[in-house]
Amino acid sequence: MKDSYHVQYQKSSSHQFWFVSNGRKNIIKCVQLDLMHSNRNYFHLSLLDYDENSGLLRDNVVSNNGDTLKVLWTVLHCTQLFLKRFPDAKITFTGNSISRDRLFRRQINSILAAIAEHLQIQMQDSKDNCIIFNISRRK
Amino acid sequence: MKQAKHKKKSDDSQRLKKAMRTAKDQPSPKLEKIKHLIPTMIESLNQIN
Repeated sequence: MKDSYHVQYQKSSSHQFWFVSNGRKNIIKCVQLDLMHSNRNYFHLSLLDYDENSGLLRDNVVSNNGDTLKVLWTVLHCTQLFLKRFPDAKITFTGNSISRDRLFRRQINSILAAIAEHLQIQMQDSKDNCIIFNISRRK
Repeated sequence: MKQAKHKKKSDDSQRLKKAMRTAKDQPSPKLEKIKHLIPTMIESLNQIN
């Protein structure tokens, strides 16, 4: 996919795609997909930073690494690889705050035309004061 | 210059391998935080054709 980082896949209790974000710093990131519903192919997507000091995955880091768009392309690349392997899967995620959600929405809208051939992305305002993003394979 | 670039790439690769080993089975902290939203998310996914 257009201008994305090289990713490495790992299957564990979840599905993980790993890459190094090379911006101001070199940050190890993980796109993790967890099954949400046992009877359906519904997966939750988390974009996580790996903390090398503690050895833990973290979701609350604002890395400000100067490569936001490349990271977004990489996340979409991961979803595309995942949906190629599991064509009936549906992926959902939300940001850490409403301002983050709005930022994602703007960024996704700006590149929607380029990905619409392969992916279907729905963005839904929730009553819980967040935006829910859903991704599935375009059929 | 070329050697330094190659070394950096190799270092990144080692760091990545270590991270993947260490965090292989860690639950997502994000998923833990949004547990209360799961029914809403499932409802939203149900609406996709």
